[in-house]
Amino acid sequence: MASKADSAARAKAIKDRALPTKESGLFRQLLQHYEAKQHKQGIKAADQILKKFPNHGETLAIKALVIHSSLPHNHPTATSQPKGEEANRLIDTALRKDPYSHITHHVHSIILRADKDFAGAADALRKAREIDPENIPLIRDSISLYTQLKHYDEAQQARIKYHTLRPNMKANWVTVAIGYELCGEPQNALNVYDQLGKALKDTGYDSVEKAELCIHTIRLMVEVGRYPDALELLRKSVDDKTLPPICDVMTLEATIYEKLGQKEKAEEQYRKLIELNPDNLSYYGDLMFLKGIDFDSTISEDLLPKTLTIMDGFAESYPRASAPKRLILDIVNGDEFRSRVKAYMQKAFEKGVPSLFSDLKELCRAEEKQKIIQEAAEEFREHYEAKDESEPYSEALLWTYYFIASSISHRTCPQKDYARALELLDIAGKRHPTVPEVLFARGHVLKRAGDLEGAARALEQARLLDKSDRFLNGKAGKYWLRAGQIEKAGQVFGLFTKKDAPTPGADLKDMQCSWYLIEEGDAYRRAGNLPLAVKRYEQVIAIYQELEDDEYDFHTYSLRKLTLDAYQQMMKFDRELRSDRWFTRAAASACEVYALIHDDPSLREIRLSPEEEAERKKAAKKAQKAGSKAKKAAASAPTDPKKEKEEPSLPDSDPAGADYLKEVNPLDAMERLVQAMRRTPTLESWLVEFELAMRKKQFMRMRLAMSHAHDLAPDHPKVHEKCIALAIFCRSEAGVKALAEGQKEINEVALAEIEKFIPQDASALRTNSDYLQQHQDAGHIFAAARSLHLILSNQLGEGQSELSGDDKRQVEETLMQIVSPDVQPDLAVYKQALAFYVSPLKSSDEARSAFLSAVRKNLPLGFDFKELSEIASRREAWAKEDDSVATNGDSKK
Amino acid sequence: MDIRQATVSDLLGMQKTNLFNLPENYTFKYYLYHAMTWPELSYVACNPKGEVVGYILAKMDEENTEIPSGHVTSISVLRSYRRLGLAAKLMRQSQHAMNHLYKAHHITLHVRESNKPAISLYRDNLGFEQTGVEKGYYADGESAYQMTYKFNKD
Ligand SMILES: CC(C)(COP(=O)(O)OP(=O)(O)OC[C@H]1O[C@@H](n2cnc3c(N)ncnc32)[C@H](O)[C@@H]1OP(=O)(O)O)[C@@H](O)C(=O)NCCC(=O)NCCS
Repeated sequence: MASKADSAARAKAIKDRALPTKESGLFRQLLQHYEAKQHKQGIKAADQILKKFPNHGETLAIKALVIHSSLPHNHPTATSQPKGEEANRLIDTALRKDPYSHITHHVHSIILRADKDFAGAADALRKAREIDPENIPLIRDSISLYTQLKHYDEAQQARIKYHTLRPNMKANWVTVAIGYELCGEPQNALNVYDQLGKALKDTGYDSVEKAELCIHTIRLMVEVGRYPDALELLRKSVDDKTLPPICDVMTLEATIYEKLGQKEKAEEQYRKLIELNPDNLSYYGDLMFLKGIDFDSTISEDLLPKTLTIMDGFAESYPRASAPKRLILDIVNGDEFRSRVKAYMQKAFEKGVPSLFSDLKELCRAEEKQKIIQEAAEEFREHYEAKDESEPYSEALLWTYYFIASSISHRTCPQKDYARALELLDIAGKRHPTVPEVLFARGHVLKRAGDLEGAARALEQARLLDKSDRFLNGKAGKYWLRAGQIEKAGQVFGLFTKKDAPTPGADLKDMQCSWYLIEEGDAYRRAGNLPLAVKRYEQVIAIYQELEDDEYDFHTYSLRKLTLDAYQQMMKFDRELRSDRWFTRAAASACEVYALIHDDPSLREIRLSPEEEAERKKAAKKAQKAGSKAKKAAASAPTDPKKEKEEPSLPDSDPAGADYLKEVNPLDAMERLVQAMRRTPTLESWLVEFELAMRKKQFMRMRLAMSHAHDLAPDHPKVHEKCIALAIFCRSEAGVKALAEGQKEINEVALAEIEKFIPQDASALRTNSDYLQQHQDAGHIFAAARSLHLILSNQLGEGQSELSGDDKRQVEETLMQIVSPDVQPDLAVYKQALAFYVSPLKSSDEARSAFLSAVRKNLPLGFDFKELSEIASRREAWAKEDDSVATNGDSKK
Repeated sequence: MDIRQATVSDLLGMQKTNLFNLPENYTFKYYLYHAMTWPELSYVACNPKGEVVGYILAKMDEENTEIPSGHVTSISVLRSYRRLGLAAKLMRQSQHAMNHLYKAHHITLHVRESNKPAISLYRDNLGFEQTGVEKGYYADGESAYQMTYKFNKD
């Protein structure tokens, strides 16, 4: 209940709010100016009122709104920044002067919303609605805000309230119906749509809107199992031409018939769909499923002939469609596979299809098919080599070489042969020196063989063969990043980015190019520049926030447009957004760095070599110049109102990310990312959560995270490593203490669960050596070596900081298993293991050299692992080569 | 390769493909705007791994609404998947929906004067005609051909 003082204050505020005639006229004008976006006039009117009534809260609020709405979105500029601050000051004052007005709170909400603080905006709106519960604009705004925040129940209350106040507006019906869908009550939603459908004639919807609404209603009926109703509505709407023959409608019809058991009718629909789009894979799968044939599992011998007849029929009817021919390759085996894949390959070789290998690569997962494809390719090679003289076959031979080179260097190939791949590409390159694909493939092979710099050079050469192609440009830039040449990469990317962007990277960031930001972040991280690495990762994370924020406008827009299926797709997209591959990569990488600087705060600052320091100074100067240019431009801009729009945004005040990393609280930062990742949990998110919980000493959370991770992938190297870490923690002093602090029952559950990871009677050492014995690939062996190191370090007595020679030797022996000849080489693991020898293992140079020379033996082409002198002399040779090409080129002119 | 109607979940893949292929790029919201306004008009081509390797991003003309006409905002295919007929197939699917759902009379698009592959695709393969030139249409000063496809309508 409001106190006496409070109600007195309220009464006074209400009294103060009333303005004399002149000023209240000005106030109305002020509102009109705001609506009409006449910012200058608006401010003038506000100032006139404020001159007499400086404490008038609502005027202060609207003035804040007028100023705020005139500012450019998201990009503060030299002139807009102080204005933004002024608007914030004004709204704060307004709220202080008149906290009893729904207008001041509503304005506050609008400003917060424009700044993308949706939660704050919802709070402000809640206050406004307490004052004026029946106010329609307030209700409308709150629906979108609650929906954006995924508070669907609250949103639904507002939707129903809105509907009660304005029962005749059809648009509100849709709002209520969608609200039910979001709350998981499709039946209620359907009731509304049913009514709306009956009223369709007098809704004033156009034909497209009617079709959208109708399709969505039918889809919902199917979802809840009302098939006969769905069919009736669909048939009726097709007949009266509400629904056109587009794929959405036809797929729905097929599904309904299928559900109703009317297989022939369903088949007829799928055949129509295939006729419309014979390249859609799912139509074939769905059609065959009707006939009891499941493309997702092995097809039995007796069903095979029937399957082939049908699919061959399609292949014949739609000769230009590749889908039926390609699908057959998935289902046949043995000789049938051989003859069909050969025909498929021959056509591709002779037409010149570079993507043939990506097309067939999935098949190579099956050993038998891999072998057949390999053999077939060699046969074609011999065949075309014999005919080499005539033109068409010379092309076919080129693509055959290209195919073989790609396949014998690929992950799926059991006997990789990088040298031969390069040899074939060399021959192809000599005969076809202008085809970029040859060099492109060369780059791929070199990368896999452990020569990133050679790979980048090959891609650079490919790029130069077709400078107008952005694809080659982007791939070349990416390879330069992989090779650690960040500046060179920037120059290459810059050939296609906007010329007026401060840097190529800034344009790519503005265009939300996540893969680039992650690659550059990784490159910085490898170079030891953690501040910039984190900066790039966080930029990706910010992009995903932008994507989520972008959804806001569509909560109203789609309902107006009645694109309800699309709207539901957007909500699904939102639910899955934080498990997107690039987000996960960026968040996990950022967390790794945060963990590093938490464990060793000295890493917050970059340790630069003198050359790097010079480089950094140069870059800082450049950034400063760009900054003062922006400020200068800003200073001259405001005189011309048209130009105001083009005012450059303020330069980044921390372009190198150094200030941020110096000040950030790493565990808070990790927590923020873990919370985001958790919205759609994945193996990666549980692993990151474990790392965080371990550093926060939250035992129960560690256990839970590992329990989930273990369920998802018990054998994963990281899962193994962390399970060992967990077991050690539980049995350590700190762990025992943490356990003792918990309740007894929880402890029992906890211990039982940990036994799932490590049986009580087995020591961590035993578990680890069992794991090592069961797994024979580089990643797993490395995980066992690291775990061994952890276990042994944990047994160190007081005052000991380093493992004994014997213990070290044990770890080193395990590490050496990584490079044994019967284990597939793994470049990433090799690099990590080499670093591991230095830190934390602190091995002797000798031990590390033994590993390195084994690596060199395994990867004879692996320049990444060569002596610096060798790398340098190759660079020199390249420089000479480039010079001579350049001078030759000049003399030709 | 699989050719199917694009969903909102494909938009990031389309944006990524666009950034790899063309200098004309858009922020995500513009893709979302297409998907939420004309969800039937955009299509993707995916490789066996399910990654987007080609797309058509299309819309209806919002300015001249008396005669409904379609417009191709962007179309491209990753270089390693070109010459498989993907672009032509994507265009035909989009055309079908423009025609039947939106009752389009014609489709327009812009293409760089120098973009021979694309011009050949539109003119020789898909039956577009050159209907105009817009001087300095692109950010780097290059001019655009306007090309038009007419549906057979009375
Ligand atoms: C233009 C582009 C979209 C064509 O994609 P695509 O999938 O390779 O094209 P298709 O395989 O469907 O080609 C169909 C027809 O177009 C023509 N065509 C396509 N590429 C061609 C080329 N490089 N040279 C000559 N004709 C070409 C041919 O007539 C071809 O039929 P054919 O293969 O039977 O001879 C693709 O090259 C691309 O993405 N380029 C970069 C981005 C771009 O320029 N987009 C267009 C912006 S307006």
